[in-house]
Amino acid sequence: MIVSDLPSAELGTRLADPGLHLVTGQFQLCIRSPIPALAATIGLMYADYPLGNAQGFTDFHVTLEHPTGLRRWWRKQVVFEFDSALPFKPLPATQAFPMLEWGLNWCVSSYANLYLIIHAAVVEKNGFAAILPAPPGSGKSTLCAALVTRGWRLLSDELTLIRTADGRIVPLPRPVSLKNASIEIMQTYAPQAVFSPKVFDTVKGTIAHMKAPADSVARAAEDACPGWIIFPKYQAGAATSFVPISPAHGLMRLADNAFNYSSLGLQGFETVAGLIDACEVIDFTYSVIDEAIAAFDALAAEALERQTGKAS
Amino acid sequence: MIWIACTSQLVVQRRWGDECILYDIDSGNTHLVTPLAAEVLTRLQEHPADMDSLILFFAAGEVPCALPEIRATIATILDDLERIDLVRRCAA
Repeated sequence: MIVSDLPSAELGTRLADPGLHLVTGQFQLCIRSPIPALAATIGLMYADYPLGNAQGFTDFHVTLEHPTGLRRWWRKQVVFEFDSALPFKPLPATQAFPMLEWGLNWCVSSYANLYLIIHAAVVEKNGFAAILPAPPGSGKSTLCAALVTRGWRLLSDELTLIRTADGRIVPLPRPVSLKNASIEIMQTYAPQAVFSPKVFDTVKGTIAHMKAPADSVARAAEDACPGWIIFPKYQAGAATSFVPISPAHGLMRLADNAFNYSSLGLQGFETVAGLIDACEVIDFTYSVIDEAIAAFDALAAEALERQTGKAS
Repeated sequence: MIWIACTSQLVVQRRWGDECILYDIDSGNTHLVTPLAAEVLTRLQEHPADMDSLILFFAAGEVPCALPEIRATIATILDDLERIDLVRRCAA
């Protein structure tokens, strides 16, 4: 049973109490919130996700609600509660859905230490994953969103999970976060995609989320082989280009983008080094989305050809 | 003055072509160095050494006129390794 199987009234009721159990990738969440607007956006963005087992183990229990006191009535706010603690300051109530997404990212990046967690989007085609680590403003999420509307599978738009035991990439497909100009670019580029309402004046500017493709959600238990580490950079007017990066420099840059590299110690180093051994490491510059997608498709086709050649 | 490695076996090395990564298990720090720097560290992990004996070891087979350049290179490497706390100097 998936979230969209629930009548909308029941979705709101469950969210209010005892909480909505749903499964995203390897994690079961319990989200509790009495906020009707948040229920509507969760219903839109998480429609395809399997409902969790309320009696089973839940990785993260989170609550989003209005704080007590004057702020219940005046300039309403929302707080994110995790295991009875409030890790963040309250935000305006209109930012409840972005706060849920940021809070869930924080839960995973703080506690899921079975994985090396890299601040990177990750997409897959033909069995090989392209990891896209990049700082904010590099066009990473826009590129990721465009790729998943053109045949690439979304593994994650924000957190790349590398299983330390075998170096494979574990999917965590959740809504893709888009900022400012990227929102309209993607709404025009993929009019068939589903977008959350825009949320204005967040710390990151205007935010909207694009729903993860249903196929990516359905295949969330299917891990992937790392193929490329690609540092993307959007640069207006630039030609599409791939520039190889040496493995050692790639390792240093990848380690800089990992949330828990230090806390994993030697295991973190060995996992990053294994990833470098398995991947081509590339700087990628683009300005035209279709050209970028064609370049990625060519990489995936070459990888498939190499694999087929090996097998025959 | 002799040079001593701060750690014995607690630095993991990975090499790719003419670059090398050192991972210091004690501190959790990661460093990108040249393969020669990694060799100098390995040598000091095996035996504390002064500059002259390091030059003798690494300059084996080199023509005498190359010695000043080798000395300067090793001096720079030792300074760099000292700066990242992988080696230290002490009185002989």
